[in-house]
Amino acid sequence: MKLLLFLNLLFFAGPAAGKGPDTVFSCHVNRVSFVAYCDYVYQHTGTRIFYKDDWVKDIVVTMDKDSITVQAATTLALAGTSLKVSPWNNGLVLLPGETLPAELPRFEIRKPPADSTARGAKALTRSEERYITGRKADLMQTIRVGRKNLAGTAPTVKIRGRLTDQQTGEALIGATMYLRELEAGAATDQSGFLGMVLKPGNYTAVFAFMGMETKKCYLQVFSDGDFSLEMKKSAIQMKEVVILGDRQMSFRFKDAGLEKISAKAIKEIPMMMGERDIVKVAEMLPGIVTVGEGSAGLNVRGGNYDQNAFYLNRIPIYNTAHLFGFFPAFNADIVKDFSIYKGLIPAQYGGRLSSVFNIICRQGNRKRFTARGGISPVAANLTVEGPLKKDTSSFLISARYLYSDWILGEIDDPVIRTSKAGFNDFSASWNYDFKKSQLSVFVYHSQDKFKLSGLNNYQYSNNGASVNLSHNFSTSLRADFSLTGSQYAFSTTDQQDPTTAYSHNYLIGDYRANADFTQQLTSKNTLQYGAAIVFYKLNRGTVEPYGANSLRLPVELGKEQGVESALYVSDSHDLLPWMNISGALRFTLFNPLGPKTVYTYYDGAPKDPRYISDTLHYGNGQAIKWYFEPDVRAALVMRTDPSGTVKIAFNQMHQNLFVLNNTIALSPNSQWKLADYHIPPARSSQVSAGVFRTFPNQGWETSFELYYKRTVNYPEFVDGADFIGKPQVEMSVLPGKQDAYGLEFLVRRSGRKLEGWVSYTYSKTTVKVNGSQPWERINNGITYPANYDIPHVVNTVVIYHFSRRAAISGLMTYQRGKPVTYPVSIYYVGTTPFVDYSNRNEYRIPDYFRLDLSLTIEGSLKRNKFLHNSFVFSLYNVTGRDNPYSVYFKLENGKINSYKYSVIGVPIFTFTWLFKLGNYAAD
Amino acid sequence: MRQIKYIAVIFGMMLLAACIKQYDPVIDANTASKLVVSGRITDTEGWQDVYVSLTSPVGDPAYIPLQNCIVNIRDDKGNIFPTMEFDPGRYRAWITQDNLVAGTSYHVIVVTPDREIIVSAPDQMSKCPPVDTVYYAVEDLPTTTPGLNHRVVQYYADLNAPGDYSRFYKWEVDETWEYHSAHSLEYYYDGFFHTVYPPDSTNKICWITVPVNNVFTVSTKNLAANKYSKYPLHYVDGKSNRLLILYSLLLHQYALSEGAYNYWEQLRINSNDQGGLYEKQPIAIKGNLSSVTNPGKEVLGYFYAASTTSHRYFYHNIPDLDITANNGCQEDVLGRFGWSEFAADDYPVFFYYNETGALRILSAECIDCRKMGGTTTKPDFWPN
Repeated sequence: MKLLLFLNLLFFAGPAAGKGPDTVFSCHVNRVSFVAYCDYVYQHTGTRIFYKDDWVKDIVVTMDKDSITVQAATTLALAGTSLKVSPWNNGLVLLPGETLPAELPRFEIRKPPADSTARGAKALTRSEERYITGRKADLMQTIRVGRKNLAGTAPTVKIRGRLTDQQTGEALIGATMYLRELEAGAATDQSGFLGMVLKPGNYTAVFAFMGMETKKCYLQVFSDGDFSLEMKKSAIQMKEVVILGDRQMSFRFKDAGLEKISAKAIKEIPMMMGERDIVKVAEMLPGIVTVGEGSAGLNVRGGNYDQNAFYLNRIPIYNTAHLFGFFPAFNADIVKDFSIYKGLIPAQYGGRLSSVFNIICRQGNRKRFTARGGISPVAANLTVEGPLKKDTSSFLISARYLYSDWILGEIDDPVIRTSKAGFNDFSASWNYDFKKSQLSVFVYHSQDKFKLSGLNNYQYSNNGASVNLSHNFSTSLRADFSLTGSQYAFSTTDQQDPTTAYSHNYLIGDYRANADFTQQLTSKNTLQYGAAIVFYKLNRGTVEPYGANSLRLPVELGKEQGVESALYVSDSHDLLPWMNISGALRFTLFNPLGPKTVYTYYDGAPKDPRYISDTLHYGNGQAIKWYFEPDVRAALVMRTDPSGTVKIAFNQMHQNLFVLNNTIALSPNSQWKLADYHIPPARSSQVSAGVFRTFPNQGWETSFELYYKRTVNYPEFVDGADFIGKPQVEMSVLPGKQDAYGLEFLVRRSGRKLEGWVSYTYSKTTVKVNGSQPWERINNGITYPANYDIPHVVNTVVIYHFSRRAAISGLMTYQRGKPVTYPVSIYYVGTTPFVDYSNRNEYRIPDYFRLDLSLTIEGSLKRNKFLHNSFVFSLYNVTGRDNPYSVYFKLENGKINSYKYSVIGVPIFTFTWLFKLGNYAAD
Repeated sequence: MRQIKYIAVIFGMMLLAACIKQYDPVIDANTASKLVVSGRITDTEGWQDVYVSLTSPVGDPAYIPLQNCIVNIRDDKGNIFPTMEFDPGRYRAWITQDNLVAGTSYHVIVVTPDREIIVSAPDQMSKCPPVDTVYYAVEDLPTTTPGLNHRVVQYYADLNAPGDYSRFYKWEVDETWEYHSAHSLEYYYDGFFHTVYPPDSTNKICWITVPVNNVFTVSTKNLAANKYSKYPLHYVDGKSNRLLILYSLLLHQYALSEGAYNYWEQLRINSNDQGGLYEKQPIAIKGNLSSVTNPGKEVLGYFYAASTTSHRYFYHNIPDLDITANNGCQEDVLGRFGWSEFAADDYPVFFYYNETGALRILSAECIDCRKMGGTTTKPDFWPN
């Protein structure tokens, strides 16, 4: 393996007489390098010393001893470093932090007994264990679970393990344990726990996690019990394949339509202006698209941007973008795990039709204090973390600040020069590990400001806090309790026109309590159940006149509140060794609550002030409607062979909250609105089927998925809908039907020098709004492509590691142009021409193509250093293609002109400096 | 939303990227023509016009009149005002003042040569207040090129309509300006050399009147008072010859019904407020015309009634504005082969001797201002 290039062993063919670590010699060296010292030792004693160059680079040896053994001298020479000296094969081996076992293996691995229960019954004596351990082919740690005196009392036992990072003490999410004898395993959850039901006995367990050394252990199970294991970062790339997050999931065979993004991938993909962006990485995956550069929303499997739920440590985030979508609202440095559910969504989630983006943040290093940060031309970020009580409690604080104002100030344009743009975000977390329980607290804040000359002010902010308590009631029952509060607010002032200038403040509060239980019933059956209650409190605000000259009438858009209560149960059952079936039922009750005044309208008449038939008054807390929302979800997973699975899933979702927006991209003053008396919740049903295959020897994995999704009652807005002019939204909303289907293909290679992926998505999304009355139709009731109907998307990400210190990566994305409504004819009224448009979205803007490159250079790999630097050079839009964001038509001087509007039409070069305390591998 | 486009421009600036470019999309529209009926009844006694036309392909825009229709205007009092075709596709009826009063509703019935019957929904005439004021401000408009501003004279209008006046208005602007050709007629060649003495200045001074083809709609529906300040009209820059001598602006103020306002407002949005980061779907605009014979068929346009007032303003010597307009005159030197280069088709060839005494050939625009679109007839309203 080429990687051994790193491992530079010194071999000398020299005299054989009297050599060995116990050879006594006189050692007189003065300020020589360690390599020279080894040379000296070899010449005087013929004893070889094995080590890795990097480890000894900075060691200087001075020694003046007349009679000393080679081993003692070397130990002395290395005093103060973490290198340990072990005798081996008549020489010495240096290893960081550990010694070689004194005895070398003489014995081959045992064959596992057919029945593990039988084996467990005759527990081994301690000396037998020692004997076997000592003779294992590999040196293996033994993990004992349960109490020995209880051995054999139960036919099956429940074990629970916790996997943590040795370096930081943080829980590992999605790490796996695989028991060779059972050909089965489990993966850790968000708190780093895994559970299994098995017969007592002895097993060979393989623990694996992306970027960590795969660890083989000897697992002795006596009775119900817990264990914990620390895993080590792989210092060098291993010959074995590093198992990636999603591969573990495919190993688990239980999650259809789940995408995972590793922190590593986020690090290595080139990004605009040097800001790492997890959302942009998500866009590279199949089935997730965006309508263009600088658009904040994502469209998952044909869903609108408000159909995605974003959770940051369980806090729902209502606006995930900084600066209108150019930057993500989360600092990538704090992200530990990022999962996207787009097919089968776990029953604990509800409330959004298309997807769940679940972001788990790092909890902070539990072993030592450290800091990291980055500086790019437009923004800076800093993260500080460390233990409050070693191995038990830690904190993490992270902040980011954008200082692009100076760039705006450099521009001569008066409007721009007097404009200001900025954002900041902050997060802090604290956790405490009570062994059986884990308590964590997380707070998050993000704020954006944009001031356009004297004309417009936009400001928006997310604020949230969560308290989460996980508790292991027993080895088979685990519960998570959480309380979260989240607020999203924006304020806009528009002074474009003094007469109609206005200001508007909006606030939505989302307060929820969750209880989630996971119960391992049998080795084949896992039950999850729980309850959730969400209280929404919206103040849609008042549109008020702004400035002395404004004549605008204040419009109170009203307050809303609603409560969403849900119960769920889901069961995952291994029907056959190669077949898993899971079913879930989530039952939600949504009540829009008073106080509220609701207008009713005459049957068969448009919802318009002219046709109000009655006015209903609801008191505070009174339920305006009862919406019962049963969701049925089911999946069947079949393992066709050890590296292939087939999955079929059915998923139902309901959504009670929408964005009022008639723009194509998510805008910073989009209001969220609850389902109400007139606007029912939307419902979607999705069927998906997928084939997954891994080729572990080559590091490849492939997936192929098909889906069909039907959504009803999704609110579509009538042309020119105005959401600040009147409080009654029902007057501008119509229930729409969305149909989406598609095909997703992904081939990915990981854990190699050359890694990356290619994804292809074919998708179609159409909308139909065809009520019985003419005014209840959009596009005359004819089905039309959704604004985000982008049928062909090809994304390629390639990363090549020249060495541990340098990697180059490229990203190429191609998208079919998004749909657009073009004029098809021109007519004149007087001398003025006007355009008559085609049916909605009948045409497409030109295709989108972009190539980005980035080069990451890591500082030295010295072990003992205070600060590790990395430098990222990135070039965004290498070809400088001016991808159109929109094509539009304008009447100018009596002529219709057409324009193409591109957000970024030139290559953009950025240089970013990233730093962290500690060495390259430090976390 | 103009503001959002600015945001995009700012990011474009930040990245030194060009954002907006002229672009011709390929539109292979093979759509059948639609009928367009438009017309306006005003409260001024006289000819009231109704236009019947067909849509033209987007790649080949043209006004396609539909001739030989029967067009009748009716009011809600049972009066019928038959029209006659005056120009192709332009039908007019003379309506007397007593039949043009606020509060009356009017509609139009069109029978096409194919016997298709088109009817408009009735539209009620509202009351129109006098024009309040029109004024200007010299402003620097940002351009997409950093550091480059565009200095313009931006005109604004105010509305003040206390009492029972309509809350919906459409403004139309006609511009008239005086301009001069560079030279008087003094010398010309048409095979023979002529000298005119004294020089002939009959075609040196012209006036031109053009409509501003923008849609200006204003509503005070959501405002506390029936007035509006600083509504931006069109702007004029120093590159145009409009402001060189004397510029006049005639503001027509039309009081509309709410339906007619909505129609024009949607047309305005579709014509101007497109594109940008937060672009919207173009509005599928519904007029108030429908086909009786073929109810599913869409008919474009709007027939409405509007009482009107107007006011004329004059402007000259705008401070802080550099006028860089050229007078359209092109001078040339005499070619190598002298006068023999000119054929009879080129006659007359105008020329003059410049300040250094050199002979210069002049384009027709140099001595005839009418070549640039205007007329030498001084408008009645023009001051002496």
